This record gives sequence, C-alpha cells and structure tokens, in this order.
Amino acid sequence: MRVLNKKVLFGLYDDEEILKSAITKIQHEDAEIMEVFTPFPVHGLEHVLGFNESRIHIAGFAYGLFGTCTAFGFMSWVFTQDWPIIFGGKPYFSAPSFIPITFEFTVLMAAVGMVITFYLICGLGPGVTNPYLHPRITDDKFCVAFDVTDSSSEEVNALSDLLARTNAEEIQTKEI
Amino acid sequence: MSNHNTNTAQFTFDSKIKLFTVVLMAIGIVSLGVTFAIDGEYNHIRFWTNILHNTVFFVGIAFAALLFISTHTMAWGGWQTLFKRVPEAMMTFLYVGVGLVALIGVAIALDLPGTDLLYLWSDEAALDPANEHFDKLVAHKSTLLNPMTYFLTALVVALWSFFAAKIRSLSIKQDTTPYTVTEGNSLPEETVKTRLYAAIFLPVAGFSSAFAIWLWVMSVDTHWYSTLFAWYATVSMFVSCVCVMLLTIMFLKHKGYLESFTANHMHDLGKYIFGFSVFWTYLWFSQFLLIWFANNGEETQYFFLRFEQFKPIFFINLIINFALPFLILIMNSSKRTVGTIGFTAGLVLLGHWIDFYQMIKPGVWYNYEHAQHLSHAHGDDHGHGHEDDAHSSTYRLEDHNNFNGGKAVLTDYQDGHDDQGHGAEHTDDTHSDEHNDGDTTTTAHDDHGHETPHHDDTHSDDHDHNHGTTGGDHNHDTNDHDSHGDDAHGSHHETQFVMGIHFPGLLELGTMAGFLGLFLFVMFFSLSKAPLYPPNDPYIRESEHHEVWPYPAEGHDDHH
Repeated sequence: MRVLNKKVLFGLYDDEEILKSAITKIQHEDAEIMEVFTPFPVHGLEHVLGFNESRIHIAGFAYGLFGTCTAFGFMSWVFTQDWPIIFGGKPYFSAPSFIPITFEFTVLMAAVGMVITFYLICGLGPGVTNPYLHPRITDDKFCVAFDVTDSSSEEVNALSDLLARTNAEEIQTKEI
Repeated sequence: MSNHNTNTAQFTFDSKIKLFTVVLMAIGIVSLGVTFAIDGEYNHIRFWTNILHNTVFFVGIAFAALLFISTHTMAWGGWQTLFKRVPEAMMTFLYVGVGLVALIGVAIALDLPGTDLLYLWSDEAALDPANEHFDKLVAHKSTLLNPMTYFLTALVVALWSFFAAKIRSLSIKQDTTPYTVTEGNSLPEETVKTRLYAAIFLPVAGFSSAFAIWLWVMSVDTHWYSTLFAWYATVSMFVSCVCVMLLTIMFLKHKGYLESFTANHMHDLGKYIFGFSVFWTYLWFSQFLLIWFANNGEETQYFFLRFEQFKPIFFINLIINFALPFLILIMNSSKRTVGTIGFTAGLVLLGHWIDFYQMIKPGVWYNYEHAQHLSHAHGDDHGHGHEDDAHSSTYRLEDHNNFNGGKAVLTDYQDGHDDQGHGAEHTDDTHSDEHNDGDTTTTAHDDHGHETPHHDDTHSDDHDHNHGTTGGDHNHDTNDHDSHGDDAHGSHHETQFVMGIHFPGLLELGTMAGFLGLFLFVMFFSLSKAPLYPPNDPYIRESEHHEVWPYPAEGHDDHH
C-alpha cells in the first residue's frame, strides 16, 4: 500500500444534500478542504467545490479521431494497396462498407482511451492499492477531509468544531 | 419560491404574435395559389407535393410531441415537467392534422389533377390489366396502397388526437386538483391515468405511425420499399419536434415566462438534438448501406434517383442533419449557450424539412417522368387507341427495369475499377468491349452497353425484343434517364432542372411559412388556454432543481 505520510482529519456525513450545505459552510469559514469522497457521483458537487470543467472529453475526442483515422486509413490501405479483393462486385475503395468498422473503432478508442487516461490520472488500476480513510465511504457515507499534517492541535480542534457544527456524524483523524 | 408569479403566469396570445402567424398563413396561401397557377406544365405536382410535404412534416412534429410526453411519462421522467405545456400545446396541431390528411385523401379519391402523379397507385389505369398503362407491381401493392386505406391514415391521426386530448386534459385538470395520494397508490390519480393512456398509446403509435408513413411518404416511390423507412422518418420527426420545442421555450423565456427553465434543461434538450441527429444518421446510413451493397435495381432506384438528379439536396441533407449538429453540439458549452443551441435547432429544423423534401419530391418527379415516358411510349396521353396491347404488360415490366437504371450505374462504377486489371468477375470479354463503346456514344445502345455485363442470355433476348418493337421509345428513355449514369464518365448530356422540384424555391419556403404559421397559431392558442406552470405535478420540484435528485418528500405542496 502506498504511504502518503499525511495526517488527515475527516468528517462523515449521511446524505449528499447535508454534505453540500456543509461544504458551503466550511468554505464560508475559509477552511481549506483537501478532498471530498463520495460513494457515488454527486450532481453539482463540482460546482460547489469550484472545480474547473474536466478536460477528459477533449482527450476523448482526440482518441476518437485517432480511431476514425486509423480504422478508415488501415482499411483503405489494405483494400486498395496491400490485398485488393472485390467484395460483392464493389470497387476496391468502397467507403460505405468501411463506415461500420470505422464507427465501432472510433467508439472503442474513445471509450478505452478515456478510461485508461482516467485511471492514470487518478492513480488507479489493477494491482494498485490506495490508502482509504474509512471503509464506509465506498458504501453509504460522504466524507470531507482536511490535511492537518502541519497543523497545531488548536487548529485541529477548530476544524473538528467546524465539522461538528456542519452536522458531521463522525469525526476522526487518521495517518495515511 | 421567488419566481412563483412568473411561473404560474398564463401565456397571452397577444395581437402582435397573432398578426405574425396570420401573415405567415397568408404568405402560405398566396404561395400555394401561385404554385397552382404556374405548375400546370408539370401537372400540378409541385402544388401537391408542397401540400403533402408540409402536412407530413408538421403533423409529424405534433405526433412526435405526443410521443415525447408519452415516453417521458412511461420512463418516470421528471425533468420535462416544467415545460411540458409546450409539447402538450404542440400536439394539439394533430386536431388540424386530421383535416389536412383527410383533405389530401379526398383530393386523391376525387382524382383531382396531379394527384395520380403523387401516388402511382391512385391512377386506376395502372391497376387494370386490360389497360396499356397497367403496372403489375402497383397492382400487386394496391391491397394496401389505395385511396380507402389512405383515408384510414386520417383516422390514425384522429386516434392520435384522442390520446393527445386525453393526456392534455388530464394534465390541465391536475392544476386545479389538490395534490392527493389515495391509499395504496403513491401517485396522484391524474398521473396514474396519464401513464395508462401513455402506455396504450406507445404500441399504438409504433404500428400506426409506420402505417401512416408508408402511405404518406414511402408510397410516393410506389415501386420501391424499405423496411427501415418508417423508423427513419419517425426519427426525423422527433428531431424536428425537439427543435421546435426548444425554439418555442426560448421564445417564451425571452417573453419572460418559464423562469425556472435553466441551462440544465436546455443542455438536455441539446443532448436530444445531438443524440437523435446521430441516430437519424445511423438509420439513414443503415438504409443506404444495405441498398448499396445488395445492389438490387428495384431498391437502388431510390438512391440512384436522388444521387443523380437531386445531388445538392442529397448532400445538403447529410451536412445539415449530421455533420453540423454533430460538430457544433459535441461540446458541452454549445449546448448551454442560448445563441449556439438556438441557431443549431433552427438549422436542424430546416434540415429535416429538407429531409422530408428529398423523401417526397424526387419520388413524385419520378412518377411524372414515368408518366411522360409512358404517354410517349404509347403515343397517347389519354389512354385510348393503342396498337400493341397484347405486348404491353411484358413491355411495362421490362420498361421499368430499364427505367430505374440503378443497376446500370453501379455496374459502371465497378467496371471503372476493372480497368486496373482485376476483372475477375467478368467472364465475357465481348461484353466489356461493348461497355467501353457505350462510354463514348449517346445512342440508345449506350444503355444496352451499360447493362450488358449483368445480363444473362434470356434477359438479353428480352432486351433485343424491346429494341425491335419499340426502338424509338427506348431512345427517349435512354436520353432522359439512363444517360445520367454517364455523368461519372464525363460525357455530355443535359440534366433537367426544374425549380421547386430539384431544389426548394421561394414558393416552397412560402408554403412552409404558411404551414408554420398555422402550426404556431394552433400551438400558441393552446398555450394561452392553460397555465404554463403545472404546480400539482408530482415531478415539478424535480424539474425545477433538475440537477439533483432526490428531494425531501414533503416539498410537493410548496406552491399553494
């Protein structure tokens, strides 16, 4: 397991609505959130956290374009240069019959490419184990985490108070 | 809720908008009148196709609005609740649609001038074996394709109107009924009933829309059929419907209504335009690919005609309905920007109008040329005084095979490549030679040369037979139609271009404006009859906070 050498203070919430109002309150008090973990994608969370628009779809478009060009180019080359065969009395370069494969390969490249990119960016994938804060984050709890590695105990207490005021069900510190 | 008052506001159909729609309708009537006055030369096909084209297009949009409401109700959709009054108002055009379709049905039954060119099956001469205009294929199909069943399509629209009326009145009734949930039922009574009507409507719509489209649109190309066609046309209607819906909502928002309609709703409607444009392309291409690959003359005639004689329309259709919406709407931001999505919706709406144009006009033009050719072939326009009656029915079938020419052009295509030295499929050298001769001549034998590589012996005999008995007529045929196949070889010939047939002219746009005016009048009238905001719909809160789900359950009666 990867070791981050970080001390983390985190609070667990029951519901994504409570989570979102809690985040707004925390931001109001100028506390710096390290990370928010949720068991499923929460609509609107990226707006609350002020994330920029993800750029993964730009990568997806590039992968798709790559798939289109590869498939169409490869078939064109094979059927006109490398191994010309007449199918159904059609010319060697018969674009309409290349379209289905081109389409499928475009979708395949875009989808697989985006998944691989996403895994690389997030440090996920087969054989990789990452530290976790609480097992129930993958089940039904929503978590807001603060990095308190270099914080004094007063600061940690202040943050715990803040979490308690935002209706966190459980507040813990953990070294990961 | 701060925008409560604006949301519940009722749309007022003020005199300015009313005048606008009436002016549009006046333009339409003038256009139709002018069209009828000037297209006598072409047996009024321009007039009748304009009426048919716009009727199908706008009735289709109204039908798709009903489909939209029904599918969303059945799929427990909630996000559309906020603006559901717009599709509900759109589908009231179906009431007018019954009249429009019945009007065309009556015109066909009365055999008004030009209507038997609209549909070959409405020409009684084609059904009578004793007549020299007898058409075996058309006669065979006349069990389904006849004025009686055509009239049934008006009843189909009436059936749709029934569902539209029921669903709309239930929705409006809910506005004044307090939100009550009866024991053992988690939904208010009106919603349950709406779901029931929607559930019955969906299978009915599936079969009846295919039936109607076969008769309205596909039977224009009476000799031709495609099993995919109804689906393809329905998707075209659906995309147009979403475009009209979006543009109407934008107009209402511009006027200060529907304040809770946000970029999130617009984004989802934009996804519909994007997704269904791609789906339309998928169906268009599926139909094209199969027909192109099978290369069966009976089927290729559809694309052959459109590709050779209607080239601008053929490509504009694909560019506007696929390439542009795909490239514009692929970005998130363009679906959330009023200007971009509004422009695209308008463009795609025009594109699908053109799509229906290219479904209908070329087919009728083919019918017209076919009739011209027949009257030439038999030397008589009025169907009497004919010498070779005994021969006529065989001639007709043969004639049809030559006329459609689909096989001819695709054979050319292949032969061009055979020049590279891979003529494995050709076993007969003489035929190839003959073909090469065909390229450089413009005689009647040109056509013969093109077809030769695919002829077996019997077929060739028949062909010679034709040349022997009706040589002069055959010449006519060749010059008019099969010579289009020569485009690929760059030889000279004249392509006939008729404004309003080969490309939409001002009169077509005027007629469209007229029908659009009628559609807008009916829609705005219905919109003004009910509040824009349905406060008692169980999904209204979900729709107002479209981004997130679920909501606290107690929120539903906030608006009282």
